[in-house]
Amino acid sequence: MKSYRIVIGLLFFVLSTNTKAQQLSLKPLSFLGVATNLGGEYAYNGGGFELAYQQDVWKGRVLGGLEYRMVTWGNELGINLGYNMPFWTKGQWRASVSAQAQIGWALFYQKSLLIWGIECVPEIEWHSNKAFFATIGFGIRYSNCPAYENYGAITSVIDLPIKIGLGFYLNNKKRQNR
Amino acid sequence: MVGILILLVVNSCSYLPEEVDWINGVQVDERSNYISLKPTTGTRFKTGLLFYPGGLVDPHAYIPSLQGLAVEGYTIVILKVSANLAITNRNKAASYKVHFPEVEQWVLAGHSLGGVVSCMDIYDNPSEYVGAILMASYNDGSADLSDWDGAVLSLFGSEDRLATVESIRANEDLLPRGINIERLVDMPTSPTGGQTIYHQIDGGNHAQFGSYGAQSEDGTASITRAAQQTAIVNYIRSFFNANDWS
Repeated sequence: MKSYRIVIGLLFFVLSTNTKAQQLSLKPLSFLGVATNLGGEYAYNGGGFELAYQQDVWKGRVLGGLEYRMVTWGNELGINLGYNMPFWTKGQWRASVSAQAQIGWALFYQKSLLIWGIECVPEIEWHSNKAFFATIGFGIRYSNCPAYENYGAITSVIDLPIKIGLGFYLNNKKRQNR
Repeated sequence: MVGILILLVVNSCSYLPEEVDWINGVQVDERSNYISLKPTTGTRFKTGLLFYPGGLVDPHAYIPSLQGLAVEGYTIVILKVSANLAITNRNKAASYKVHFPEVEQWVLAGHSLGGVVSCMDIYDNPSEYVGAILMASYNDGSADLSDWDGAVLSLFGSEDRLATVESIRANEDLLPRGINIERLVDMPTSPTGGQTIYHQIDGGNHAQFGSYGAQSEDGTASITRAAQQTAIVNYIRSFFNANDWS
């Protein structure tokens, strides 16, 4: 219990003393499937949500977070890591593109199966005068669950993810590098 | 937020299917939205079976239970549903009928939660289906089918602790009037429209309607999975024959 408190305390210390702008965002997700390893085919692959921490690094932001989603082999939990690069900013608006890699688990009782994926999502953000921002993105993602070949024929999918969410700044370094 | 995520993860694990012992004569076509089973040779009947899997069960787990019907000539379509929960894709079955133009009439079936959703679909579109098959399932009250003129077959296991015999009996009023049969030879020989045929598989449990191992909180079966699934195919075949569905 004591070590748990120390870790939480350290986390808050790092976040509060960090000189870079940091954000936390929550994005409900929707996935339109357009192809599988068997060929092109439209299928609604379900929804999900992403909880992401972002920190300004160089001209953009490093992204890291957790994601839960539905997919053709069931449900999965992923850990995301990526980089978001702005290509246009004006007033309260910011346009950027995020590239992320994912690794995680397809959720099954008997044994979880490894999944991985990569995605590229152009996004537009609108920043309020306070510490909040809204975001919308539409991109492309490749997901793979190699071990699922022992159970079904579809082991990889290409989706067009739609992300709509809200974020807020964790410290007062807002807009330094939006 | 992290708490919600943990809850989601804990409650969204599905049961993986066990290895399929394929029988000769089945043509499998897997797509993003369904798995279809058809006979490779011989007659293809004009009656098809659309099937909703049980909650949080991988759809491939029902291939062993249903492939015996495909060999005999029936088109079987096992639907894939979001999150492996049929309730998230209510009325999905009707939208996939057009993918099988050779089939002229459909029976809608489901295991457990899949059976509940089958009843909801039929309630929404009663003329889309000529019959229904409930496996370890019952109509939960959201869709009263007591006046439906389709034929219903309800199969359940005596050792099922999830869809218990008591819960199935308690919801009989929501299905067409019932007839209990104990043996295969008791199956009516004339069409059973507007009736529900109930058969208890002695020794059967909930999980052995599919092939995905033991299910949490289920009873222990006193017959093998193969025996339970043979009974399932035999009763469905006999039900189809009674209604002249070929």
